[in-house]
Amino acid sequence: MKTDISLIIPIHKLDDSVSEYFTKAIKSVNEQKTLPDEVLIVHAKDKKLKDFLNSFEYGDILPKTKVIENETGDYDFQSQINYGVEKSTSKYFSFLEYDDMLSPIWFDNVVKYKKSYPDVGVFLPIIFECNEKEEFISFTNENVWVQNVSERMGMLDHETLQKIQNFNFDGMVVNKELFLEHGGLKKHMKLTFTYEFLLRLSHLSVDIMVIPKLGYKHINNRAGSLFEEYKNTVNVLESKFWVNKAKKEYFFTEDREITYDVETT
Amino acid sequence: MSENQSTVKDTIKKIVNKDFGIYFFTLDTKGNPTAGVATIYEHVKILRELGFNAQILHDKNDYRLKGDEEGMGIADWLGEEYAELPHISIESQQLQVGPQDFVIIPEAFASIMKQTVNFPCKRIVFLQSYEYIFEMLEIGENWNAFGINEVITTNDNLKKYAESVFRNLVTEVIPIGIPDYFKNSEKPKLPTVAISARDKREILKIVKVFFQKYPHYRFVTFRDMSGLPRKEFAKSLSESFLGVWVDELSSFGTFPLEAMKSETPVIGKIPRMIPEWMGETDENGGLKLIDNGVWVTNLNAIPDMVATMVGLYLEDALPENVLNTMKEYENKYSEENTKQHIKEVYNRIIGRRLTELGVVDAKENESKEVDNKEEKITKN
Repeated sequence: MKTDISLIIPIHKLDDSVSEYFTKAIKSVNEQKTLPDEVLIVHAKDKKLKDFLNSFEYGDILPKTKVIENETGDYDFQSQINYGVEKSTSKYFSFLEYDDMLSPIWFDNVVKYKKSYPDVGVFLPIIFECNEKEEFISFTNENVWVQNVSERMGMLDHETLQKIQNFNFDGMVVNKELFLEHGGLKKHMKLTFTYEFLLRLSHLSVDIMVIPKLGYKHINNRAGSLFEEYKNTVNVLESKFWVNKAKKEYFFTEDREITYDVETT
Repeated sequence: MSENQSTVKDTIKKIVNKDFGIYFFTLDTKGNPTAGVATIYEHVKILRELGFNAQILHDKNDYRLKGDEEGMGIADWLGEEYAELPHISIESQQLQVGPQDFVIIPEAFASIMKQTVNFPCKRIVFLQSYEYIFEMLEIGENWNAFGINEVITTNDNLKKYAESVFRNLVTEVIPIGIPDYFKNSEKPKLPTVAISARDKREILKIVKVFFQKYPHYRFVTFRDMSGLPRKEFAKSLSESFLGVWVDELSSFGTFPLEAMKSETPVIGKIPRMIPEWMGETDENGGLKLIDNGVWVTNLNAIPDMVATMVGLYLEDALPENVLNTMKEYENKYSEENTKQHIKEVYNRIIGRRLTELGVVDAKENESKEVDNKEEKITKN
């Protein structure tokens, strides 16, 4: 079945843990009840990484898989995704972090919900947050289904985002045209690029829906992950700075250069 | 010809010509939707479609047909077409019944059975709930004592029960029909649990225990289904991924059947009288349940069962056996089947009435339609 979805898996470095996690991530793609139309593995310029990816056993998804080197030289997460989107050929795209897993029903549900809610531009999964042993910690994104949180149950609206920041777009499925039209992800938004992106799209009246199904398994604060790094290097003041910045930057489609500057107010 | 013979002949002629009334005594629920009242209206509607003069008979003039500031009326919760059916009140004193007429009295209204004991018409009990049979009967009283020996009920369990309690009853079964507006939602089901309980405290208890034990499932919504207009009820049921049904005293249970037709699985507390669609008790007293739902004996297990079903819903893994068996029941209680039974049963009732009036042989009557009787009457 054609899903009209390209899956992007960004990977920027090869270290000891990559093989184990990447194997699990690819297994979760192979186990999809409904497979995406293509899988794009976007990697940094690194010979060892390239060799690893080119010799990897992709299983059933091999014919759909393309290993692409990011030629821009920007290997931050946002740039990797933006690059993958440019190279994708489907109407929608999704992404999977190489150290996470998709739940087997995710794309199958996206296909169903796309059909039932054709006006929705972004579909978010309920995320199963777990530790490295895959033990449950909490859910993310589920709270728009709690009564009286958002104006329309299940929809993540701008007002809700202004009040609540802890939404996660891992695994989201986005209309590519809409993503490109509204500026994609911003590499200069450190820490709160997810939040800024969701604010921007909701501000532009894009319907964002949380599919009430487990779509994504996210390993929390894995040693060496981007957010673990932020946790160790970003203090409370800087966190506040980035949250406030997101609340200002969402008015702009272009990725404006921002440097951290302590706010005194 | 004596005066008495002439009256009988006149009565028979009226019955044969369908020139008689079938009056269904109905409780004014003051806008509160109940399955029992809905069933009565369905009978009236179908009988009228079949050419009979069926009417709703109610006690007071202020029967709530249309909604007002105090709440809904029949038009609001059941539908305009039902509110437009002929209604007549006892208070208006316009009701005049003769021997050709029929008055159908719900089982709970023993007082009406007593009050109408000298009415010349045929009176029949409409039994929908065993729970209310003795509500207004004194110790030692029974329907026969009020001159009533015919009963219409909705299922075989109730028929068996009534016949085990009262002697010499003629009991007819007209199965419930689940309307076709109960159907699966066109959109994927929501993380909502449609809950129906006779005792509202049970709903609160289930919901409170659920959220206490499973706070991470706070995104699940519970919807109390009581008081909803029928079509809104059907829509809400079809949108929900799960139904919960607690009605210990139920004599049949339309909620789970409505849910099955809506492709919404149900967790239900097994009632004291096990509905025919749920299973049966074998000769050794063992329960043989059908897996067309999740049936529990322990009320306290329901919040845990709901949590299990939420987990399965999140992973698209609701039990296949339940979903498949439910499908077998989607059309088992069709409106068409009810309509056919109404036609046959009321014709038999009318036939027996003619027999009572001394006209024709009972056996012949039971097998033939009332429309064919004019010829026999002429011969007599």
